[in-house]
Amino acid sequence: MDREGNMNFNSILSSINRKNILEICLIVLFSICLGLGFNLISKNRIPYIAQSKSELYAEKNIRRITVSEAKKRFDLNKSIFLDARDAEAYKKGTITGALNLPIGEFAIYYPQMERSLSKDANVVVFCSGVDCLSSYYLAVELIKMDYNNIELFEDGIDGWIKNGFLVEKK
Amino acid sequence: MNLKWFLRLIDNKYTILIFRITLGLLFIYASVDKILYPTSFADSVSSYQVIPRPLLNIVAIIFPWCELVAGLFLLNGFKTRSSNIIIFLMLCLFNILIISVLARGLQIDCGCFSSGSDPIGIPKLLEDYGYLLLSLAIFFFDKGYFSLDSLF
Repeated sequence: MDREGNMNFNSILSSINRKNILEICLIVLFSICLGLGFNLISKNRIPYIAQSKSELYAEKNIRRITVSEAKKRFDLNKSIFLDARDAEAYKKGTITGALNLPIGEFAIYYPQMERSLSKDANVVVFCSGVDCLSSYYLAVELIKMDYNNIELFEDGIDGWIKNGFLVEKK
Repeated sequence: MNLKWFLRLIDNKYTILIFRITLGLLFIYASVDKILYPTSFADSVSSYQVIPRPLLNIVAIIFPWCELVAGLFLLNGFKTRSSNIIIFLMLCLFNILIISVLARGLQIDCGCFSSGSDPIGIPKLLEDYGYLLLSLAIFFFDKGYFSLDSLF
């Protein structure tokens, strides 16, 4: 502020100089290094370059099912539905009877529900919709744990709701 | 309340310190879940439908660290101006994204703090404008009170 109490905004704006720009670049570069480095050692690391969904599914040989197939499994009541989203999203609304196994906290949640998940059971995994990959990563983790009847419901909770099927809030 | 009185209120070292701490803590808090659970954050980014799939993961890996580092720097008053500019630019980006989501009629969660917690709507847009104002106030009025910058 000057003596009359007026701000000289122009002079402040023009004070963004080369030093600031260099600092910004360094801060961003530092963050990039930290991010890339942390992802190398993190338990929840993800590939740096995301593959397309069809490539991912083909690579792991994961069976995908449509909304109507998921509904059939639901009506037969012989499959276990697993919601891969976090607990907060799960509580807001999920497929009726679905269990929550957030992929981000797999190591915490899985031991608690291991007993109720038979290795031979038909397990249907899902997340929010066609744009999410949490269900895929959950399917991969379960396959690693020797579950051999995993199916991925790609349309997820969005597709389920769009078709007017049963949803429950926790 | 006239403008000069308002400017005097903002041009107070304690007010700006509170703004700096608020914005710094907010960005640190926002980054933690995203760093710990990159898959969920990648899903949130994906739901905006603006980034090509091959780039989703790299954005999900790097972006939260930019938030964390800029937030920590701002909180401690280290390279205050530069870290505040980064935060301002990120807030502008959020703003554009929120407007684009509203314009396209997408019904998605923000993923701003932890995934699945915050639906995008007008309140989220107003919240973002509020943070932008804090950032602008820091930019124009910060004089380095109680900051690491003032030590060097």
